[in-house]
Amino acid sequence: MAYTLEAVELTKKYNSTTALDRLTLSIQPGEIFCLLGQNGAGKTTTIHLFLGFTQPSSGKALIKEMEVLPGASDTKKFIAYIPEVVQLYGNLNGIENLDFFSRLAGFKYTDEELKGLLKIAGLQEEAHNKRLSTYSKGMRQKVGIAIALAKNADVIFMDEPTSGLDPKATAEFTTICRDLAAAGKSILMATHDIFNAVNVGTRIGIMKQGVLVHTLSTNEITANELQKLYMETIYE
Amino acid sequence: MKNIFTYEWKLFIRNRAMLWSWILMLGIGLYAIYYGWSFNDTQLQLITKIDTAYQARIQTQLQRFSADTTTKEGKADYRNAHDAYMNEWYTRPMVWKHPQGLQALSLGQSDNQPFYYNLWIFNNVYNTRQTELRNPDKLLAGNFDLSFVIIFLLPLLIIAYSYNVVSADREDGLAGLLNVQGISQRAIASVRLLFRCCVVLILAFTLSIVGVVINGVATTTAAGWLGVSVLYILFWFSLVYWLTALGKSGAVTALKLVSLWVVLLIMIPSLLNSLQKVNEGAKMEIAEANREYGSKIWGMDKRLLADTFLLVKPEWKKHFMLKNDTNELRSVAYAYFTMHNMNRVGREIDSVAFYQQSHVERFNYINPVFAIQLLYNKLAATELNNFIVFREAASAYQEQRYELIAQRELSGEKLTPASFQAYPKFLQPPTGLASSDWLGSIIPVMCFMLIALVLGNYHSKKNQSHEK
Repeated sequence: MAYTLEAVELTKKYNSTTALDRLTLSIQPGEIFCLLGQNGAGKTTTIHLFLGFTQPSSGKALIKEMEVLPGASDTKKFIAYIPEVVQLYGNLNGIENLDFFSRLAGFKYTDEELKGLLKIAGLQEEAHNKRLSTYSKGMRQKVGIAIALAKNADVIFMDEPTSGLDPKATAEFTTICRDLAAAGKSILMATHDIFNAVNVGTRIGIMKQGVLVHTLSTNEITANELQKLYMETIYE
Repeated sequence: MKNIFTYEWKLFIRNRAMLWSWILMLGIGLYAIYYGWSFNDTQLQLITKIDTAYQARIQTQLQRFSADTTTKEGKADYRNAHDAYMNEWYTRPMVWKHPQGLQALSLGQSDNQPFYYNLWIFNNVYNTRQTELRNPDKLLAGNFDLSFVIIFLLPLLIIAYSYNVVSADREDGLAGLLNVQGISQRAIASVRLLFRCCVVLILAFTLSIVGVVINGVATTTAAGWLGVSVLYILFWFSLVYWLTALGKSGAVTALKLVSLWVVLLIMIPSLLNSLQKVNEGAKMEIAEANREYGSKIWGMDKRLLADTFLLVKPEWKKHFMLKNDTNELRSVAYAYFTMHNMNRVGREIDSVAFYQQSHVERFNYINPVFAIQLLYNKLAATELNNFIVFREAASAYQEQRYELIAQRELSGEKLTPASFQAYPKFLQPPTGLASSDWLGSIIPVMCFMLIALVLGNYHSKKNQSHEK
């Protein structure tokens, strides 16, 4: 089966510091791969290399078998990104923000379609026409999800997307991720939330100091077992 | 591009600071137009008064040609009207530099150069200078006209609007999300800059159109004004493009742009101004000449004065033979020598100023803002050279009248109403820009723009590749 995401000996060094050390990883369509690790373990660096935000020191990052080249837009059409804090234009409302980002990606939706996407993302209808400056973090996160949905990308990168969300919003977010995976999308998510990782993910990777130390299927492990393994990994 | 433009518009009208600063600048510009219009209006009112009084004096003189000679007063009027010399004294011919409509938008030197002269033959145009010329490039003491608003204030608005076109998304945490949409940050920033350029251009166009309509500026001159304004605004946006492309934070870029504003608008013109040898003693020199020639000629022995006069005017010998009135001769010779000597000194002083002006223009390549101000003033005919040319024409006209009056006076020929009315009229020297004027200012500014765009493009590409 073709992989949508592949990292081949992917390495990133900043002067003498190795942020990511020879990462080799493959993710299939419909998979949700959750990266766990402390701050500085290399999770965000991995995502940034796939997004083409930074140049690898060695190795390759592939999306649908195409190498990610910084500056090149070839792989951009396959990807969407939800950062830890979704920052949008405060003077535009939810629909306008979604429309603007969709148009930049080359999609043009009607108002009804945009509202539909925001609804799928879980944003209550009365908020659609309010300016983003009045939104909570969770509401902005939902617009970020809608932007990812609007792009209809095959691969979605999420950098600690549930950080700061309340349990209800986290649960809603989990449902959306599952629906996306069910629709054949691949998700690579960096998170600190062990329980949510087990809950939403299909596979989990534990990183330490730039190295992917463990890769496991969520079918093989419970949340408590994962927590124990995580603690052992980071303290060993 | 259209999408970004649409949303830039929405963001612009919803950003109170941006919108109000635009409205404020519009208000400032309208005030500047009023300021210039008011200045022009004052000059025009004064010209009307001068002309009305002058025409009244002419009519009075014409009536005196047929005065009732049965009365003592009538006899004097009749005699004075037919005497060319006395007629000139009563008439006191006036000439003026009629302000062009565009002068209201670019006052230039019009507030410190005389715009009218009394050409009575014992007056001298070079001795009526009201103020010394101290600041040839005028950038430190400009009037609050529209050219001041465009040259000094619009760049500040441009800086305020554009310093963060590249850095804002990064600083607001939007860069990542924008990046994955498949459009480069460089492309977004370029379109954003273009939008803001349009916003400023609309402001400049609005003000300029109001200004040219109110002041009745000719279409071609108005087109020239608009062209210069567009060039200047594009010049500033090219500098913004370059400095924002360096990829520094908004605060650092703003600081650099404001520093550049200070350098281009204050430091360079001020430095070039200080290097200029301004003709500080011009007024004193004229006064000295007046005193020297006046007392020397008036104190000369009448016979010696007549001989000296005939040396320069041998063709008038026949008149002396007929008249042989040495008192008349003294008066005519005095007027001749003071007029010509003073005019010579005055023209020499003006030619120095003319040269200094040309000298400053040679620095246009490092003084682009002055180059633009120069174009505005030349279009409005308010540049120093325009006043020098006017003064020269006024003095030449005075000399022309003198020749006619002096010959008639010396020959004893009576002045008739027909010959009085046939005196030559003063023709205001034509104004306009030669192609060398345009090129001398436009090419330096365009060179600056080109360099800024090339550097901006280079840094933009470099930062783009570094980012990735």
